This record gives sequence, C-alpha cells and structure tokens, in this order.
Amino acid sequence: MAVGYDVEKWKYLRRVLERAGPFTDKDSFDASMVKEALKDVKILVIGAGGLGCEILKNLALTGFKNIDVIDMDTIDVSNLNRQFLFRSSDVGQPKATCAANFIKSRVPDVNITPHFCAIQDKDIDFYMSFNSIICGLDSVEARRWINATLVNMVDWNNPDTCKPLIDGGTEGFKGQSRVILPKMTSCYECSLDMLTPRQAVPICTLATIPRQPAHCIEWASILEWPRVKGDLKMDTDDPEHITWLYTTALKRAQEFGIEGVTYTLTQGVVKNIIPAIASTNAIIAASCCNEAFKLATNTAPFLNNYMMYTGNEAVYTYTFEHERKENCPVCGEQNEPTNVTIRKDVKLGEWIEELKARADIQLKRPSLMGLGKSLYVQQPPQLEEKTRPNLEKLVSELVGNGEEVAVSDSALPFSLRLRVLYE
Amino acid sequence: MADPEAVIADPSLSGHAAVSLPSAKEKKYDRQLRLWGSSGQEALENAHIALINVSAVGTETLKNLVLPGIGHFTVIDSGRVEEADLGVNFFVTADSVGRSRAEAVSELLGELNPDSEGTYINAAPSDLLESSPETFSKFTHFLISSPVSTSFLFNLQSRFPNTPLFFLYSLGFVSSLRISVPELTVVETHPESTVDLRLLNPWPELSQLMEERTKGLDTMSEKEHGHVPYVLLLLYYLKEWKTQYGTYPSNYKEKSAFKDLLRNGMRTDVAGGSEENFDEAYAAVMNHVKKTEISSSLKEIFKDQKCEQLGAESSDFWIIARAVRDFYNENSELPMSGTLPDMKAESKDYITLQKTYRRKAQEDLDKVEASVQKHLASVGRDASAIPRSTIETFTKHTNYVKLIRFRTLEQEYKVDDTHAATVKRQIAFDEGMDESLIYLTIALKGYQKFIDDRLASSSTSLHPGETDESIEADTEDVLKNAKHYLALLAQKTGETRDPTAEEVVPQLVVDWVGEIVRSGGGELHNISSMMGGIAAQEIIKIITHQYIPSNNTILVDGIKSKTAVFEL
Repeated sequence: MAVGYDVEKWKYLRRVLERAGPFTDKDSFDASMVKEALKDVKILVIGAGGLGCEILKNLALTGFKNIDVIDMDTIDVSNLNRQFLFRSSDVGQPKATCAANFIKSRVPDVNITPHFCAIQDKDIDFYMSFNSIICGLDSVEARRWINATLVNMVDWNNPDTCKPLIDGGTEGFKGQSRVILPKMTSCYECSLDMLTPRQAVPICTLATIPRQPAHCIEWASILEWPRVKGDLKMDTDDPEHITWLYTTALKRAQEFGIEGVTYTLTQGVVKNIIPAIASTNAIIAASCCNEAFKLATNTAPFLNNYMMYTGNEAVYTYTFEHERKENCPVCGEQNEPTNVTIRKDVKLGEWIEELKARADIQLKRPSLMGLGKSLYVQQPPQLEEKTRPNLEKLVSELVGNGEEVAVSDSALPFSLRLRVLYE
Repeated sequence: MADPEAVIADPSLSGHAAVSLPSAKEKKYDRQLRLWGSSGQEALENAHIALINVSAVGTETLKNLVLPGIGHFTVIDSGRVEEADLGVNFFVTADSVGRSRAEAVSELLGELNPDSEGTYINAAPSDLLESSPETFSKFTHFLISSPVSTSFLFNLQSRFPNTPLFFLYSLGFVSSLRISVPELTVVETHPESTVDLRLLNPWPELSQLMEERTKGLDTMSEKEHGHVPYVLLLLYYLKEWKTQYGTYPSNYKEKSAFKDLLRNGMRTDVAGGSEENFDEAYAAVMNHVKKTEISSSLKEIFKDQKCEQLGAESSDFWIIARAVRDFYNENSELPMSGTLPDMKAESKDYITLQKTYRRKAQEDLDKVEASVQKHLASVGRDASAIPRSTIETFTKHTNYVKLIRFRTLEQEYKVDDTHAATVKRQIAFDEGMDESLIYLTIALKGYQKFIDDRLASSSTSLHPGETDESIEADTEDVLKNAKHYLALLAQKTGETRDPTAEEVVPQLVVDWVGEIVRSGGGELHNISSMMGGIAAQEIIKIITHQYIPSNNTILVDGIKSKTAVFEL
C-alpha cells in the first residue's frame, strides 16, 4: 500500500481506482499505477474564493497530495455566505493562507502551499512545476493571462510542457466548466466571443437624458466623482464613497422623476457585482475536480471539452466540444489578422470605444500600433500624452486601407491583429 | 429590509430624509439577496430541514443550505463515524471516529453559520418513524440519502404527504435526486422578461400619448425625430398600416413588409447614417408586434379545480389566480405587468411613457384586488387578508406563474401506467443513439431492490460490490432485479415479447449496473459535492417558491459530465 493511502480511510476511492468500470478505457487504465499517479501529481489552484474553497476541499478528498493555491485577495464579510473555509474572525486575512490552513486542519494527509500574490508575479518555472492547473476565478483578464501563458509554454519536444487547464465559472444559478489542453483543444481565447461584454451606456445618455436608475448611478461615478472629488481615487469598498455616489445618484434621479436608485443597486452597478451562491460554486468546482481526477487516473474518460450548467429553470446541462479557432490570437496555427470594416468618418477615439465593446476583443485599456507607428499607447505616460492627440483624428487619416493594426493591453501577454478595411 | 445598521440624514433629499444603509445581515448575504430577495431569505430562515441518513452527498447538500442561512436543520442517523467517512466527508474529523455520526456532522455543519441552528437525533430513521412519528412533524422538508428501504420511503410520504421530500443516491461516478412535492406554486419564476407592450390593443391613454408625441413626425427637428420612443413609433406606424390594410401585420411576410415601412420612415441623412430609435423599433417588430398569448402553464392553472372551487382552505395563490381569471374573463386580456424596457428617448418622454404603463398596471391591479377581496369574503376570510403587494407580485408575473404537482414515490416505484409509459417513451426516443440516462434509472431500480432484500435479511453487507469477491454474484443479482423491473414495465405497456430474454436488456442497463456495483455503495466526493450543489439549488427553489425546480428526477453522469431530468 502506498504511503498516505490509509486502507480504511480511502476505502471508497480505492474501489474506483482499483476496479475498471464498463466505461473505463482499458488500454490506458492500470490499477497498479493510478494510486501512485495521484500521489505524485502536483496541482495548482488559482483563486481561493467561492470556487477555490470548494476546489481545495474536493482535491483533498480526491486523494491529491500536493496542492498549491494562489490568490491575491483578502477576506470580506460578503464572502461568508459561500466561502466556507472562512469565519467572520478571518475577515481581512489573506484567502490563500486561511484556506490552506483550514484544509490542512481537516485533512492532515495533504500538503497545501499558499501563495498570497497575483498570478502575474509568478514566473514560467513556477507554472512549469505543476502537472495541471484548476482555475476558479471571476476575472476574464486573469483567465486570459493564465491561458496565454500556458499556451506559450507548450514545446512539443517535451510533451510535459502541455499543462491541462481546467476552468470553472459561475453566475447566480448558472455556470460552466471546461478542460483545455493547450495547443490541442480550444483555448480560453478561442471562446472569448461566447461572453457578451457588458453594454456600456453612451456618455451622452448619462450626461443629458438619463432614464434608468443605473444611468443616474453611472453619471455619479463616471462624471460627477472626478468633477467634484478631483484626484481622489474612488474606492468601491469604502462605504463613504458608495454613500456619496448613492446620494448623488438619488438626487439626480429625483430631478428627472426616475425611481429605483437604492444603496444596493449603487453598489451593484459600480462594483459590477455578480450574484454568487454556495450551491452553484459546489456544482462547478466539483465538475472541475472530477475532471482533474479523471485526467490524473484514467478511471473514466475526461470531459471533451465544455459543460454549461443552468439551474434557473429545472436543471439543464449542455456538454459539447468547443472547436479551436484557426486564427485564435493565442493558440491559432495560422495567426491571420481579423478583418474589421469601418466608416471613413470614424475618429480613433470612437473606434477604440467600439473595439473595447467587441466580444472578441474585450480589452480594458487597449494600445494600438499601426505600421511602424504608435496610434495610441496607454503606457508610459509620456507616450500616452504624445499619442493622445491622435484620438481626435480620423482613423482613415492614420491607417491606410488594408493596413494592419496591432491591439494590445499591458495586462495580457499577446496582441490582436486587425486588418482595417473602409466602407 | 428592516433594522438598518445606520442612517444618514440628508436634508436636500426630498422625501428621503433618511438614507438607509445595508444591515450586517444584508452585507453578509448580499450576493444571494440579489437572486431571491428578502422574501426568499425569510422563507429560508423559516425552514427546518431533516437530513435522514448521513452521507457525503447529504452533508454537502446541508452545507450549501447552512451557508445561505437556512433557519434550522436536524441530522438523523444511528451510525458511528468510521475511518472510511474521513476519506469522503469533509464534516467529520479523525477525532470523531467512533462518535455518533449525526452528532459529529451536525456540530461541524453548525460551525459554518451562526444564523443556522443545527441539532441531531442519534437514532435509526425507520425506528424513529415507528416509535415517535410526531418527531417528523416539525420538519418542513425531508432530505433522505440512500440506503433506505423502499417501505420507509412509502411510510414517510404517506404519513407526511404535504412535506416536500428529496431522495438522494450517490454511487461512484453517478448520482440522482428524486423530488416530490404534492403541489408547488411559483409566482416569482424569474423569467428573462415580463415586458408586454400591448402594441396591438393599446388603451386610450397610450394611443393619446402616441398621437401627441408623433404629431408632425415628418417635419420634426432632427433631435425630436431621433428621440421618439420606439414604442410610440411602432404604434404610429401600426395605425398607419391598419388604416391602409384594415388589419395588423400578423404573419412573417406582413411583418417584413411592416419593417420596410419603418425603414422608409427613418431618416438616413443624419450623423451615423441611421436613427437609433428606429433601429430599436425595427428590432422589436418580430417579438413585440403580436397579441399576448396566454401561456400553457397559466391555462392549466385557470382550468384547475382549485381555481374553480375556492374554499376556506384555498391558499392565497389560488385566490389570486381566481381573481386574475375573473379579470381575464371580463377583459379578454391579462392584467398588465407594467414593465417597460429601456429605449432611446429623452428623459421626460421616457418617464411619461413609463408612467402610462405603470398607471395601467395599477388600474388592473385595483380590479384584481377588488376581486380578491370579494373571494376572500366569500370563503369567510378577512377581506384584507392578502396584502396588495402580494397580489401585485402575482400580476407582475401573471403569464409566467407555474404550478407543479410532483408524482409520489409510490406511483413511480410501484410502476403505475404513467411511469411505465414514460420510461418506454424515453427508451424509444433514444433508439439508435444509446446516450439516454433513462437506462441509469433502470439500473438504480435494480440497486434499490438489492438494498431492500439485504435490509430484510440479516446479511452483514448491504451494498452490491462491497468486496472484490462478491462483485460477480452481486452484479448478477442487481441485473436480475433490473430485468424484473423491465418485465413489469413491459407488462404495463402491453408488450408481448419476453422482456427477460437476454437480447432485450439494453446494453446500457448492463453497463450502468456494472458501474454501480464497481462503487460498492461508496461515494466519490466530487460526485457527491456536485449533487450536493444541485440538490441545494432545487431545495432553495422549493423553499423560496422562486425559480423553477426540476420535475422530478435529476441524474448526474460523472463519466460523460452531463445531467438529465425525467418525470418518473
């Protein structure tokens, strides 16, 4: 019996590990190997929030022995309705450390190493040291970063450089889980257009013709805050700041006869709050960990490659193979630029706003490079200042028909290529 | 919600002199209150769920109910914590080995949330049901995990027919949940939209607003023309269409022609080459230019005996449903929801339009409320027993309200005609595809019979496949049971061929039996955790009377990573 696999404690798990089932692929299943495999696997969990807490518990009770967890956040009171490894006395503590300690106290025969930092703070060697990675994140940007990083790591001379990425996400009663084998299956970037970017309300609506309570709140946060508060940075976790936005929005709403501005709505709009509950996190995290288990042990075939879950109306899952995008900017084999057709009277600044809202781009702070020249660059400040006047110029003055533009964001390790065509 | 933590006085806010900040509770539950609101939370806090038999899947389900703040829970089990529990259940520790399992689990679950009150009963559920059935009457919901005998399930449900019941299996890579509630009515189903614009039957006030705002449409300034709310544009052009053709556009072809009419009305010599309000009108034609059909689910409710015959025992739902039916019979339309989507418009125009819709909704609500009061009085209740706000929630959702009567466990397990027909139909659907999880339900019937036989005998091992040596014989037994069940189905559906003959037992039934025996009754934590999440979602939906639960069996296939729902 392998060390760490107490016969009685792991009785149930061992039945599945030692017995092949009717659906097991008999060629890849070797009962004598699987327990060892599970013990040797090193797995990284990204995020120690709602999904992360569940993932850590599940991995520990699935027989994984070496787990690392990385999270840059500290615990907030609104986490306690689902992040069950934390108690109210933990508020303010790092999530990664707290979660690791709790799991170790409950399941002593597992090694958990916490990392209280951003994923971008770790280098390639760090990511190379794991067998697979599970993501329980609520940020599109962080997912794009880890996805691109793992795809870039693949070197077919050494197949071990292909690290399976299992990704989960939830919103209310809905969620999805998927398995990404970098350069082999569709990657996170391939499916980016499945997410609809949040529809931005035009500034002129906010400024002159508000109709909805959210318009008043956005007016308060986008236009009034900088006008009244100057350089003071808005902190959406500071109740005083939210209260100011709320009362400011409420006054404006009353002026226009708009009903429905509340403190809760104000918070929801400015923090872009997504409803989150324990049960949905449990479903998605368990699905991710079940895939990690099957990948590590061959006890059953793993997910190929995407499962969507909807619980609003009965229970509905859709399991399908999401196809690779040939010209995916991250994993595409033939990285052709995407054709973008625009009118000749569009200014660069307007075009950038349009690009930000496009489902296949979704960059927060895009910088644009033309043929050998900077069109608009966000960093460093000197360059931003130098390129800022271009925002008022027409794109057609700056870029010729059929020319390429590279769009990048300092938060992402790749750029998107667009070919500009005029109407 | 009540009891705000702090208030801010701001004299410049007319009518809102005090700004209420969220309470400590609202802060903690913020992310879920955005889904089910304070009424859902209150329902959760008033619930008392019993977990009958401790398992990982049952414990995980409770975890997902304790975290959001279920009021009370009681764990019932006579077993002791074993070593093997440590490898699958997160809510036991090495220290608790040998202690009462019910006690250990309820203690660690209770730690999760001080708002939730947990207790335990160290007794075998079937003994308890015989010796003191009154113990069960304080529970509002039963959560039962396998293994239990079929007769226990029948007994429990026949003694407490009105208590919602949830029955779980979790065996290796598979899991299932059976839900049974005699009658569930849901008003807040959370549909994607409750918009009903009444474009084909506008009431006078709306028509008048349209006339005023579209007067001299052709000669309007660019700004005015580009800001006529699209609802008024549609009404304007519909009127024009009707004048010309005598009827409204109804089929696809006419609607396409109507869209051309709109396109001709749009000005293109403006910045950007098109007008946003016209674009919105154009996009709304297919979905909104139609008469509101009453949903099949509402039709069923209107036809129901309970809607027809009100009495002192009628629930508020049925009294309001009847009042809404009266309204419908009188007006040939449903009460307005009053919802208006956002659209390109000047603030003033939009608010005026919104108020027009809301005023109509309030007028309709007045009529429904009067009718509710009349019915309340006629059944001998206080005429103001149902608050206006409750009636309003109904009239905002009229076309989306839902009634589900779940089948009982006896109807399924004793294989009534409906059950037999359903399973047969599902098998027929799957012909040539071999992917339906209906075969898993057949294998589970074989498993349950195995458990029943073992519980009735004095055998020490309960589950098929507990030891490597017993796998072969146990597999055969479970398969034999499954065949017996198939024979019963065939008999009920009048099939003539011999269903126990080898060739008609579907291969997938054989495979699922093999997969179940492989687990030897053991759980995999991931599968139990996943089902624990699904079961908690379903229980929350039923407790809060919000969203729509599954009717009536959910299956999880952890091998193919998929689920299925059947009404068995």
